[in-house]
Amino acid sequence: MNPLRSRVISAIIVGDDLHVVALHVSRAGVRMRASADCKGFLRLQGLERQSALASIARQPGSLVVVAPAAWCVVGTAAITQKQWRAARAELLESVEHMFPIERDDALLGQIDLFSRENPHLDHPVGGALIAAKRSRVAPAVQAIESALGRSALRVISAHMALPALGLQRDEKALVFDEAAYGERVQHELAYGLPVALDESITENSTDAPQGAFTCVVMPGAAPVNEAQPVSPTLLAIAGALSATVFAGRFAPLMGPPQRVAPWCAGPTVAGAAAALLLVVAGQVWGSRLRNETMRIDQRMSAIEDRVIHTQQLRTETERVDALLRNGVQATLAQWDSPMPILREVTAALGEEGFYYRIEVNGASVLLRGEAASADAFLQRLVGSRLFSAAEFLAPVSKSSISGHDVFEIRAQRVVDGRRR
Amino acid sequence: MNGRMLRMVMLAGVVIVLTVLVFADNLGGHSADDASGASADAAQVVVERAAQLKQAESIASQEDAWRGTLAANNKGLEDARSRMIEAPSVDIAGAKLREVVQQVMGDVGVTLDVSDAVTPINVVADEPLHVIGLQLQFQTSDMESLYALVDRLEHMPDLMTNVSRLQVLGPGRAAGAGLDVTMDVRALSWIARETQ
Repeated sequence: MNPLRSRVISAIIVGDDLHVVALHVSRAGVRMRASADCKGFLRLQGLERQSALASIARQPGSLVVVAPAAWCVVGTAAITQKQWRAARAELLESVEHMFPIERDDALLGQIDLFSRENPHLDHPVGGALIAAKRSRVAPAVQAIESALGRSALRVISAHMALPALGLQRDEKALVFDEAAYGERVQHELAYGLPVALDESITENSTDAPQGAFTCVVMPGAAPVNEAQPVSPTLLAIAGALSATVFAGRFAPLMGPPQRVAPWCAGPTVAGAAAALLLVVAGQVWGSRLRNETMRIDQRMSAIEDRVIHTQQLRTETERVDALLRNGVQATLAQWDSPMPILREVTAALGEEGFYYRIEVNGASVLLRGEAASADAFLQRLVGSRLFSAAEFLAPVSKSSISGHDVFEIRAQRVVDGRRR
Repeated sequence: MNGRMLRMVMLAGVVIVLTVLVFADNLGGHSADDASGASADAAQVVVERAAQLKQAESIASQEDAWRGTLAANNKGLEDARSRMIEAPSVDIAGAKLREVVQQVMGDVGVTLDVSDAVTPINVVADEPLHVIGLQLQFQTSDMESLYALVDRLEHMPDLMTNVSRLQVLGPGRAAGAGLDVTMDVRALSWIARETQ
């Protein structure tokens, strides 16, 4: 049973009556799912008991039975839980020497006791053995088991439910109870932890002792003035929670004790989880990488043809573009017509002059002829936007026939503002 | 052995087995660093492959765009080729050019005396685009006839041509003696060699 998350059915016997609660215990708290009070339960027949507890019997959960303190005897031997675990067999063997109960009829449990001055759950200062007669407890338990249709997980005494009564805020609390043979006793708690059990009350007064402490009365015990009665339902709930609140600090009369997980359990589980995570995470990561690689490969295969075709389209496009730009357009851009040059040099020479020779190429123009004034002609060429420079290639001479200047000039062509 | 002890034993067994597995995984043939390195390499491979896939998808998504651009470029090239001399060889292209030039000269009233082929130029390597040329020698009566011829040669509607060099001798003092002209004419040509 996980003490931090469980369903528990707790039954407490008060006189002949039975009080039962069905609880859901979790980290969020305790929720009571159902409860039942059965008057004179121990006097009823089997079918009557089943009928009376039918509503509880439908509830899931482990059964805990709380035996009244009046059925139990608290021993004088100071046995702690640790000692109990080590010497349980020997204690059972020698139970007759400690309690007025035959060995074969004895149910033996244990509960840790704590310091009045400095009570702490991890530091018990002693303990007490609690015994009960099997012949008295077992029939009641069997009746409850039969009525609820399940076996009891454990049977505890009312003493073992004391730490779960909710008295943890009280520095000192007295719990009045009835011990075997009707004796009035009190249990003392310090911050909810038991420090003394079944202390005899010698006074006959029904008043609570004076002092700054809490007084409560257990179900079935004689009422005490100014002491709050503990309802049977509250005690049943305390019985259910004792395994959680007081885990590892008592041994029930019947059934396995609720042990605290060993200190190494947490690290062990964490280590196992970490190791498992390490292995699984590596596998998962590797698997994810493989799956992703496979997905990428599949996608690559699916678009491979398109990619190749697109690359071919791009290559062909760039080839044709280069052919148009670097081939056709660039070639045409370099082509210049000689017509503007011819018209310019013809106009510059004028009607009186004439050419012997005109040569036009891409970079320059060679002119040879006669003009009325070779210098004026040269200046007109220099001033033309079609030439960047012009110069005589030979000294100007005079024609003996026409009297004109005979010239030979080379002019540099300008195309688009640039000298050729 | 009760249930609690059995669970503890099982848990301890699982821990031992897992521990052995982890150590065996880390120490079996390669160190932990190698294992983590291999994992990192595998992750790096996936990252690189993903980048390649992204690039491939980007390329594939451009298929329509490239197809459209290629169609436009091909249209431009077809238009250009329609104004080129298409021939299986430069010699045949030169002959076609000479035929066209003679036709134009005849229209202008000029008689071609001599023509020589100019060395063709392959404009773009390994492409059919060439510039072919002819050197023409002829006589004209005056500059106006020469102007008309040059203008006709350079503005033919179905050819891309150019007069690249011009040499005119005359007319000199005696204007009626005519002009001796040497002219280089060039044209764009598409030399689409026939495959065997």
